[in-house]
Amino acid sequence: MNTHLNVCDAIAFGQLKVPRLYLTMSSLWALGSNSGGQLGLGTEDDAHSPQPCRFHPSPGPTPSPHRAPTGRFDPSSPHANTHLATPWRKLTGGGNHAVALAENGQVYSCGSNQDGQLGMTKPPNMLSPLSGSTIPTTSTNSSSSSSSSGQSTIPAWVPFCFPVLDPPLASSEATKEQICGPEWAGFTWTDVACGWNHTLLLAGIVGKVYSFGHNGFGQLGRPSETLARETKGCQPRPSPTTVRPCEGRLPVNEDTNGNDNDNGEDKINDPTEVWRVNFPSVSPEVHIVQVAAGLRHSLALDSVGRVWGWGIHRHGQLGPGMSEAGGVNPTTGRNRFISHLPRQLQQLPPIRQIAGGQHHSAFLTQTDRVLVFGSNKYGQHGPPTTSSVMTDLATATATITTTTPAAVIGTVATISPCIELPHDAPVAKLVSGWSHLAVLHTDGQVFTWGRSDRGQLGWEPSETNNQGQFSAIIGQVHFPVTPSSLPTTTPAGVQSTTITTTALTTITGSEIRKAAHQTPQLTAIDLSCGSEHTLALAWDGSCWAWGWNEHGNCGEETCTDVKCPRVIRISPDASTGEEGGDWAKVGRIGCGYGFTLLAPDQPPLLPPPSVAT
Amino acid sequence: MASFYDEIEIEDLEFDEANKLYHYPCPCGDRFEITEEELFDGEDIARCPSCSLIIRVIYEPEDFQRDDDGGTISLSDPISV
Repeated sequence: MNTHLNVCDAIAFGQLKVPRLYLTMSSLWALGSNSGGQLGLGTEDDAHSPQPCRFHPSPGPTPSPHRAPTGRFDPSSPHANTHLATPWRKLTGGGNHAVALAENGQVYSCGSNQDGQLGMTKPPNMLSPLSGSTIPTTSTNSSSSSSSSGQSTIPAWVPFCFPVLDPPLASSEATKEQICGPEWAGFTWTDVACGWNHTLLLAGIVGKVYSFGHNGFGQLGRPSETLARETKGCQPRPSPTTVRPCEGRLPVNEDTNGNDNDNGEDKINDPTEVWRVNFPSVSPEVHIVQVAAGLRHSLALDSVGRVWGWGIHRHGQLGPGMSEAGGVNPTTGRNRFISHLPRQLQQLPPIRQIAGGQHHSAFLTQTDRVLVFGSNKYGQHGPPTTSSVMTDLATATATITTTTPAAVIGTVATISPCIELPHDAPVAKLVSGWSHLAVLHTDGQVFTWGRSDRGQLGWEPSETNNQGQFSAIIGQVHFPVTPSSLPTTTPAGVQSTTITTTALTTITGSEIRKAAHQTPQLTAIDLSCGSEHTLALAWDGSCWAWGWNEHGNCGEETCTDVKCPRVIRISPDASTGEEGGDWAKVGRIGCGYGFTLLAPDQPPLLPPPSVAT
Repeated sequence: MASFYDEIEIEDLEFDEANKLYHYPCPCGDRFEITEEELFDGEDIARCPSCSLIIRVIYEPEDFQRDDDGGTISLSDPISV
């Protein structure tokens, strides 16, 4: 955790030489759709190539010992607000908000806070100058949410922090157990997931999940009895005097039954509070190790391989046996298929990874198979059989589009058979877009399936359904090595070997190894999905993107869809428009729905004084 | 006919009471929108103001019939938040 600080110290004392490149770079770069300011660039304009993100200065102390190593903030410097010198663990986002988890456990977010998805009633230090000017904010338009702050858009990254409790004041606000509970020893966030307009944070040490944002579909895991109260008047409230220095909310407002406590009235009425998700009391105790979010549903994986889900279930995304999912639409009398409380997903073998899509959920079993619950409209369930695939998929599509969801739920449309992956190597990662999925194997091979009409799969399927919308098979993504794809900075200690791989069109494990493909190919070490695009990080630090690109989220300036993977470069010269020049290895990748986040592989460093002034 | 990005059932759309507007998330981050009035007029295309994508809204026309007085009755008022 202190590695980076040690590196900084080494730089300061002249013990370590670092390329100039890294001295002038932001630790986070973003491109793509930006209508909610979710790129954190200080504007709300789309970016078609990676641009350096801007950070607010730290609002004050965060719970010790997890203070973020923030950079010095000098509004007069054109570089200052791009220098938050921290390495990142996970980059992600939803429809209009982005969340970045630093290696030290601190969380930063930016973008739309219209539904409280940034987890704060009012951004800390929101009025501090950013490059000498007040941050532009967009007032809430009329919609559904009741944003209490009036500052619904934050186009620069701000730290998410729980309030520092002042013990004498806190004792009147919260119970002793809550103050002394493990949460208040300091949060180290270990995972984050974003739905359309909600956010889940995992405090991994205690295995607990916190949620904030929109709860209209139960995606916060917040009990339904509080919802009626929630909607009856969400007025702006002054921040509690016991909370300082920032205005995040106390995550201690519920008891174990999910009922709000005595002083919960005000908090329940505030849509921006942070909610601790309550899991049923079962044995062994639920200790969450991973969170994932679909468009409007949430998933959590516990330490013994059980999966818990909540939110909307209209397309069967929470799996069979979710009979409790309900809620009646008062006007129509129709079932809303909402589960406000986390319930264990049924008929799942032990799971080791989870992912959420638009209307489906995907699971990686501990035996390296993939299961999908929910929509199969775009072939998310994978090839159902090895023959007559096209017919079956076309039929499935017709069924789903013409049948009422009630009829679909509980039938074959809601649960996939175990998807046989065509490659035998163990799976390192499973990710899902809105309607396409991808797996990364431990040997660096990437396979995709599902919707393909906008290049989401990264390869051209030879067979698609009758509307050309999705592929009938699982196929491999290739990352061809070309001289221009190699970064100028070669990673030390990495051999520049290439791996001979296969051209996969049809699928069995043995055929893969037989069909040797002579094109040298890079192998991937990380994978991330946006709504309709995908990113892969190769071992050499090159970042590859493919899929829907209307907002430049794949780095293709013409904004046409990217059918085959192309390299996205982050370059310190990007902001000045210079061609050529250095570009840096990427170390971390992540996607929001229509946008892309990239971090250099080496933590950027505070600029030397000559640069900062 | 332009191709639809997706076909979405009315029950999946959210209703914005203030603006009499049904909306659904667009993959770009904006929202597909169609007004209640358009549904009464038999329209079924919801558009995203920020990109080229459009969706077709699946609904029962009888749920959006004007009554004799010229007023409107919506039987499938989904989710107002």
